Amino acid sequence: MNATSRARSVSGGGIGRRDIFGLLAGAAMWPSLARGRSSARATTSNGSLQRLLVLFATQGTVHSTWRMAPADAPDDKAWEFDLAGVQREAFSRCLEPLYAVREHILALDGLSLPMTQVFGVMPHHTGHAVALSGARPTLDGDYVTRVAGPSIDQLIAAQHPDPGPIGSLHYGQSFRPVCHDRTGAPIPSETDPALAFARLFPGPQDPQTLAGRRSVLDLVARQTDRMRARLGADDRRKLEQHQQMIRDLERQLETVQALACGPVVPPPEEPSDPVAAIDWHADAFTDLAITALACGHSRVATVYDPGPSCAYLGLECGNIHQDHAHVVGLLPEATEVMTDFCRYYARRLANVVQRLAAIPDGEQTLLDSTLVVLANELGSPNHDFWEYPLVLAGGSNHFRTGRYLHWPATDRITRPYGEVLIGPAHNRALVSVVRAFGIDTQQVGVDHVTGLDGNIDVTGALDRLT
Amino acid sequence: MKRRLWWVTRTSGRRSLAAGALAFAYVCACQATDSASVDTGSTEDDIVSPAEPACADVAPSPLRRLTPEQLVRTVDDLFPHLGWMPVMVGAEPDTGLDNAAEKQHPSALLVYQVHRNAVEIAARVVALPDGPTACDATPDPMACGGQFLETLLPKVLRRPATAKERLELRQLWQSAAQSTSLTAALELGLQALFQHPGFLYFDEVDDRELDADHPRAASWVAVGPYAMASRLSYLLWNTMPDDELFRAAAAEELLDVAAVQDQAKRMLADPRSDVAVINFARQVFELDKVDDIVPKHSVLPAWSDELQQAMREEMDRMVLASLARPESSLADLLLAEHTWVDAALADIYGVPAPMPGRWERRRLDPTQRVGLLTTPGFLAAHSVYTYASPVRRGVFVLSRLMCSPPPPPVDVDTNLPPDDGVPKTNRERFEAHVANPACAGCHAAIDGIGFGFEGYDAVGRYRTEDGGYPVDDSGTVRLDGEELPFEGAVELAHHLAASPQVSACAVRWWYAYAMGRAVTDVDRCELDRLEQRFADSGGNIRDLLVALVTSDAFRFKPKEAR
Repeated sequence: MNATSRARSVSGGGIGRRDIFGLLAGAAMWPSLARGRSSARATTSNGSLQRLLVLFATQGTVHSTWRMAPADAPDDKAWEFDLAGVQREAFSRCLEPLYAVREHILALDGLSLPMTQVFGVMPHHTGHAVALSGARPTLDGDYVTRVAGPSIDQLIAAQHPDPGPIGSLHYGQSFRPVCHDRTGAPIPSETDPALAFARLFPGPQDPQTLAGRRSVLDLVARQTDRMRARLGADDRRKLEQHQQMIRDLERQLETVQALACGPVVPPPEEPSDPVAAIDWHADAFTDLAITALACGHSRVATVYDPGPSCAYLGLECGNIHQDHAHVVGLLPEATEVMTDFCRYYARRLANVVQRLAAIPDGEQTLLDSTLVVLANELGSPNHDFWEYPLVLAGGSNHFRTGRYLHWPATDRITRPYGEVLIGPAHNRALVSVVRAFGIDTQQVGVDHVTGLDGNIDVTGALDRLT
Repeated sequence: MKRRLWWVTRTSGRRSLAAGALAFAYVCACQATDSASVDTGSTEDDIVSPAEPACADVAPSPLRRLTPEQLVRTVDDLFPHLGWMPVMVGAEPDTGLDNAAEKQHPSALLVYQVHRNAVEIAARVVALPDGPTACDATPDPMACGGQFLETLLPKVLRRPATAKERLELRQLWQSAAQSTSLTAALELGLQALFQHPGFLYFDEVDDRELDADHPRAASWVAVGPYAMASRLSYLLWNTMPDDELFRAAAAEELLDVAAVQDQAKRMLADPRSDVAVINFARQVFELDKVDDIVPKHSVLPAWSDELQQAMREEMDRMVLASLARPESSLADLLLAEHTWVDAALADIYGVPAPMPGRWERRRLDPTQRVGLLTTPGFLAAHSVYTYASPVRRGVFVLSRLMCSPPPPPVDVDTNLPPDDGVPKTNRERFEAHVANPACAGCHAAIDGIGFGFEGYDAVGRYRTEDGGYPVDDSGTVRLDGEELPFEGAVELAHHLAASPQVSACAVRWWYAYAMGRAVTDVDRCELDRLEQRFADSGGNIRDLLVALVTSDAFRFKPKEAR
């Protein structure tokens, strides 16, 4: 009896966790049936989460070195296994840095990013626009100027019962915008950690100074309102938005002062060594994001990390994108380089998870009520869209973490020079994320993409995550 | 990431704050008014022909705000000795021109940065020796402080303040003065000025009705004189109006097309216009791309930070020498016979090197080089780091010089086949594009142009061999409906310089930059006229700019869109 024939359906399509452990029993590095029930962190209530931290990665993922498919695991069935019992040596090379925090992660294998194909312009451009919004992009030549809906951070911030003084935080030097507001306009990122720190921690200010600044903002808001009234419809909308943001800032000046964060220190000086500066940037922005989430400045933060340079990875100076990412699968050394690139992000995620897990939050830690999403602009480094692995971490108050899940590819869609089967669209993962924050929705972004056999439904949350 | 801040280039002729305030006193006496009407009849000027009827329509002017560069330069003009540069997010790079209204979205970060800028500017202004603290030594510090703010207000707004605006400001700082020091109260007033929407946005409040006999009197209004002063100054100088423009606005001269023409000519003769030309060129000609090059030293051993900086400076020098002179034409940029080199660039060009740190003018070998398209900076910035890219070079020419951008590669694998180890030239590797039917449709046009640059490697060094094989830099370009063969980039540049299509494309870019918005179908009539005038002038850039600012599209706007 082969593995497939022994499979038992899960949720009407795959094999059960016990079955896959049965399949794995012979592999010493993998958990065996003797380990009994899943050690995944079970949720008690599927409660709502409180904070979202998106780590945005670039250049896609090398699926062959990311994947953790045990021997004979069927591609065409849904399956999953617990990560708790998996030995470090059995982790894939991309995911190995997550070994120490494996009980906190959900590795999602088999998803796809069809929107970069269906709304195809340059995949990098589309990928940045749709990865967190799932919405149809508006194009100007090659470039995406806006999308048809907000990104998940904005959806969550807008409906959060206690959103904090700053609606959302956006950090990092991004190649292109990844977050979009309710109108679909791109949201800029803060690129200077020192200035970002000053925004969060402006220092003590006497009540008179604060009152003065608020009175100035009140006046500016009224002046903006007067200007708005003179304008045409499109410009009026723009100034309405601007005026609302002035009002938000007016409130923010005081509420930020009232936050109790304990002692905080500004980011250190940027090192002159460009290799050291890569870690410095990433550390500074993740520190700021975690601190802001912990203190309550905001409930959602996005940290864009362009990734390591060639020099960082010990290679001769050059360009990761052109020299390596584009030729993954064609040149073995490129696959090695991009695997190291992928490991960099896994290390960063592990660091964030450990940081959040070390912050007490009542009887729990901050990690239990915080979801960390390691998102990416692309499926694979060479722009493929049918393999889009995602990693979620934390959020155990809602998600059942500590697992690796696989979905089979079932829908036919065109690809360059032919067709390909794809698994669930990433829009469904976005739905799962948004629903984890108590937002009752079935759809994030578009509701379907066009496949070769008709429309492919991309609504509804992913199964098995909770 | 290295990024040169061209917008912080300092202008000469600094004024002290006090002198600036005095010179502006007449503006304070003005009251905003919309009672005047505009005589749009023809004048003796040579721009608007009396026989030329108005276009049927002009496109709306969407609300624009200062770009980050304009903000820096404006603050610098207001307070030359402030010693601090504001920071503000702008339009996303790579998506066109930075002043395009449709790309200037408000954001919480923008609002915060505007607030922070205002707080910092105010703190520094009150610390200036000739700032409002000087009022403490006057017999009536309150009156002096109030005068300081109210003199500054219209300059910050770039138009006369209304009575309500003056009252609001007065109430703000006088109320604060009751519970804090005069200096602190004035500081708050300054914070209000630099967050005023009329400072951040181009608040065109002084539109004028047209004379009843104007053929478009029912549907158009004229851009008011102060709005026109700002339109002129931010287009031609990339900063706020000077005293002369404010004077002309106050005298309502800028409602007259001849006066607009005179002001434009004056401004174009001023060195400040160099900054605007560079700002335009760096965006349209993608000059900033040089800063983003990450070289691979084994492939580009000649690379150095100094060379990278020199490449950018050479292009700036060529742009200024070609486009900023009275007789400048687009052809001058494309067909420049001279360039400037330092020691690093001299090595790339293979010409005698100047002394270290010096720049010297050199005549280009006309068989190898001509104009911007053969500068090492352009060629390196449109390479793929380790090899010359006919695709990038071809796409640049199509999209930026011909206004005929190829469609994005939908449903096509853009990767080249891996190198199979068989020696071949760069061109042969890229010819796989044309061999593949899925790619050929676009790449025949892209590579047909791009192959013309095969005579230059990834750092722009001239070559006759590539990998030991003779270089083939022949190509074809479809210009003005005709397929033109050429041999090398020099001949290609001559084709481009002589092309009406390229000329029209230059007009279109300048037009979008002048209007601060995307070009629409409504603009076709005006564009046709400007293209004709540009062609008639032999491609003269200054004439084009004067024609632009005296065009109906620049001076009028539709009534219903106000």
